[in-house]
Parts: sequence; C-alpha cells; structure tokens
Amino acid sequence: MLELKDISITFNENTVNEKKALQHISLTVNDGDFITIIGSNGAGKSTLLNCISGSYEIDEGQIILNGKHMEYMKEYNRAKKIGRLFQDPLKGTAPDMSIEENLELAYRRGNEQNSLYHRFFKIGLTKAERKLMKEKVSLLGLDLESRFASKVGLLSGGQRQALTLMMATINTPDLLLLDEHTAALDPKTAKQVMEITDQLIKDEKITTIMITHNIAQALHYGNRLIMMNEGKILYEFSNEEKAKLTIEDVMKLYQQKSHNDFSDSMLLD
Amino acid sequence: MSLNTILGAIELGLLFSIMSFGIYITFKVLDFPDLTVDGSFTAGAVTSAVLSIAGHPYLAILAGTLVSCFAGMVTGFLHTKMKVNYILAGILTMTGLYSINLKIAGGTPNLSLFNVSTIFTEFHELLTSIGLPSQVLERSNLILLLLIVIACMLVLNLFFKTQMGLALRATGNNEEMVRASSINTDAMKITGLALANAFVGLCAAIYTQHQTFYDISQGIGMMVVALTSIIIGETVFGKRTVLNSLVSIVLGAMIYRLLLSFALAQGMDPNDWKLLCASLVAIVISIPTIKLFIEKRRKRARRYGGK
Repeated sequence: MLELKDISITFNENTVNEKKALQHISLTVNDGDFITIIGSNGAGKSTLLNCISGSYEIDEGQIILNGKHMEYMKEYNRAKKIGRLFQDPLKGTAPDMSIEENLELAYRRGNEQNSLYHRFFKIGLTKAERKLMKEKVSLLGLDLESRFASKVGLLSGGQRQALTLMMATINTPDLLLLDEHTAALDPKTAKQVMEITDQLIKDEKITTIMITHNIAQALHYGNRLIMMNEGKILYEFSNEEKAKLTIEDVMKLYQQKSHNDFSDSMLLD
Repeated sequence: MSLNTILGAIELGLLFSIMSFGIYITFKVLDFPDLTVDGSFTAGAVTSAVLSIAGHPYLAILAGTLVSCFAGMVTGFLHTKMKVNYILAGILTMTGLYSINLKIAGGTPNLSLFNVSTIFTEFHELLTSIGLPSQVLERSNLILLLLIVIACMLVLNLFFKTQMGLALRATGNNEEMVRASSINTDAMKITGLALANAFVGLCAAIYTQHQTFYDISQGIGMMVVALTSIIIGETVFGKRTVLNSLVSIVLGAMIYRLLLSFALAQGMDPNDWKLLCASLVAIVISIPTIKLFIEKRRKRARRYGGK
C-alpha cells in the first residue's frame, strides 16, 4: 500500500518562475490498485511520479510504501521496490548491451541476488535462469527470445519498451509507475504494448499508477481514475463511477474547470 | 627495421596495452574522459621506483597499482559527490599529484633503478634456473609481459560479465536506466575510475622497472598515447564484443609502437610525434561530423543544382 500524505513541491521558490508543481496531494493506493491519471500539460502528473520514485525530493508531506517512509530515501534505493517506465522508449534499456545482459541486470536487483558473491563473482545467467528469462520474454509475443544475444540498440521502439516493461517487472515490484509509456509509439504498437502491460499487471497483481494523455485509455484500463490540474487532484473516480463515465463526460468536466479558471482570472482583473 | 627493433616495439606495445585497458574502462565503457591518468601514471611509477630501490620488486608493483587506484577514487569522489566538472576533477587530482610524486621520490625529479632487482630480473633468474636455452632467456621480458597482459585481459573480460561489470557498462551506456534499476551510479563511477587508474598504475609500475628509470615527466601525454592505441585497434580489428575490444586494444598498442619505431627509423624528429598522435585522435573522433557536413553539402548541391 502506498500512502501519500499532504505532499507538496515547489520549483524555483521565491523567484518569478516559482511553480507550485504539487499542492497538498493526499492519496492512498491500495494493493492491487491500477490507477490511471489524466490531466493537461503542467498539471503535475509526471512530477507526482518523480516525487514517488525519488527523482525529486518533496518539500512537505510523507510518502509511505508498505509502512516504510521514503521521503529521504535515495532514488536508487527506492528503485528496489519501484519499477518505472518512461515515455521515451530509449530510456529504459542500455543500447550497447544484449537483451540477455539487460535482463540479467534487472533480474539481479532483488535483494537476495545482490550479495557480494553475486556482484563480483557470479558470471552470466545459469541455464535455469536463462530458461526462465526466455519464458518470461516469450510472453511478450515479440519473438525476442530468439534474439537474446542481439544488442538492444537494434530493436524497435515498441520492442524496447516491451523489454523495459519486462525488466521492470521481472522481480515483481511493490509499485509500478508508468509515465505515458506508450505515447511515443505508433498506434498499433502502442495498443500492443498497452495490452501486454495490462495482462502483466493482472497476472502479477502489481499495484500500478499510470499517466496517460489518452482519455479512452484512461477509462478502459485500471480500477481507479484521477484527474489532476495545477498540482492538485481535481476529481477521483472509483471503479463503479469510472465504468459509467464516457469520454464526453470527462471532456465536459475539463471544460468546466478551464471555464472556472477563466472566470477566476477575469475576477482578478 | 631490425628484428630487435620490432620485438622491442611489440614488447612496449604489450606493456602499454595494460594502460590502454584502464583508458578503455573510463573513456569507452564509462564515457568519462579521465585526465587523472597523466598524474596517476607518474604516481604509480614513482611508488614502484622507490620500493624497487628499497628491495621490494613485487611490493613495488602492488603499491604502485594501489596508489594510482586511490588517485582515481579521488577524481571520482570530486566528480560524483562534490559535483566538480569531470575534466576539472581529473586536472585537479593530476595537479595535486605532481607535488605528491615529488615527495614520494624524496624531492628529486628522477631516480635510476640501475642494478636493482625487478620483476624482470627475477623472472629472468627463474627461467635460467629451469635451464631454458639462451634464445628464450633473451626474450624473458617479452614472455613475462605477454603473460601479464593475457592475465589482465582474462580478468577484465570475466569482470565485465559479472553483475558489477554489467552495471559499469550500463552506467556509461544509459545512466538513467541504471538508477531506475536500483544501482548507485555514483558508486559505479568511482569504482570504474578506481579500477581504470589501477590498470594505469600497474602499467606505470611495470614500465619503471622495465626502463630501470623514473622521471617526473613520464606521465605527460600518456592518456593520448593510450587513446591513440585504442582508436587504432578498434578501427582495424573491431569492437563487437568486450573480448574483441580488449584484443583490438593490445594489437592497437603494438601497431602504435611499431609506427613510432618506424617513424623514428625514417629520421623523424621524436619531438614531432606527440603532435602527430594528437592530430590523429582529433581527426578520427571528428570523422562522423565531417561525414555529416559533406553529406549536407551534397544534398544542397543536388537541390540547387550545384550553386
């Protein structure tokens, strides 16, 4: 379970460029939840994920994952429990290393795999481990298992993103953060990668937060929906509420909000 | 060139390939141009010289390696933890080392290891005691260096397959991904710099014993020497896998020495050599940009009919 208690972060504080990127966000993510987040540019969606993963340090509030405080934990330490995917499909893999080497690196990050012996003297994967990796990768249905020795740089964006997904979930993480991970792919590949993601999350019951710009996607996947604006959570929908929502409803809610913003600024003038 | 000159060049090529392994780790694997090298080479050399003169040839090699290794860690610490720009971090360590090197040598800028027992004399004695023929004994230095280089190559090749080695390669390749894989990239960079400079120190320690001479200016331009050999090696012999790269580096270092001997035999001024090397490195690294420029020019010519 992930608990965000009243977290805030401000960039460029006390300058003209001051931006209150997150303002007193509180959110409880239950085990097995698959939350989708929508919101316009600058709403603070990515900032929220970056705060959870530790790329940014929050100014106020608490981040608690399974009872453990994470506010001051280093990014690479949080990464032991948190898997991440970015929009850029090139970000999650090392291009000059083979598929097997990339997977091995991800696989050995689990604690019991991380002893001094494993770090300095364990060379390559055992036969059983390699078989396991190939089985896992074959689930992607992209025929990557037959190209285990090829360099990842030779793969397409979609293949790389699918591989990144496999790497992020090979040791089931406590939390999976997806930051528009299909947005940079062509529509067909995006759909394919999204289907694979959904299947994996269901099979392994991974607690997930996913950002998307695609309202249809946000409505179709997951069991909760959050709408963000200007660093705040605007609306939250449970599974039942979400099932009744249509794209038009969401658009209307958006427009209402932007109308409010408009009148607010008019009042100020 | 006589056979002796050629074998001499190969011997030095082998010796300097040990340093190239170090530069390979920083420059190629970590993508971190490390300027500590010019200073840490001298540090390894002077430590080795002092201890050899004191009568500890083996300890000399070990200590020389460790001193340089420590210098690498300092650069790594400055860059990762103190956020000093990597070029400046290297230069700072290198500059500081100059004074330290003078101190280790007891204030003198050079030392002679004449008639001092070294790993080469010890190995020669060992081979003599086995009773090998004189043709083999004559080449004892070459044999010893060959053994050392092969050992280094095997150890490095295995290292790059361990979790640590993979993480090191990935750090130079895609730092963000490594951090997302719960690996401390700062620690990886410091480790990489320490390991790289350890190889530089090992090379320097052996070099001093080989030359039976130490000089404070021995390290100047060493980084470019190693880089030139790597570039020659990888261009001619490829870099598909790690092992392929390592073999290319050894062969590249030999070609470098052979070219140098050849140029000197043709009557080239030895002082011009460094300019030639620096130009070569600059040109090879610029080739992709030059290609792009020519490509653009051609495109423009095609579109506007050569105007």
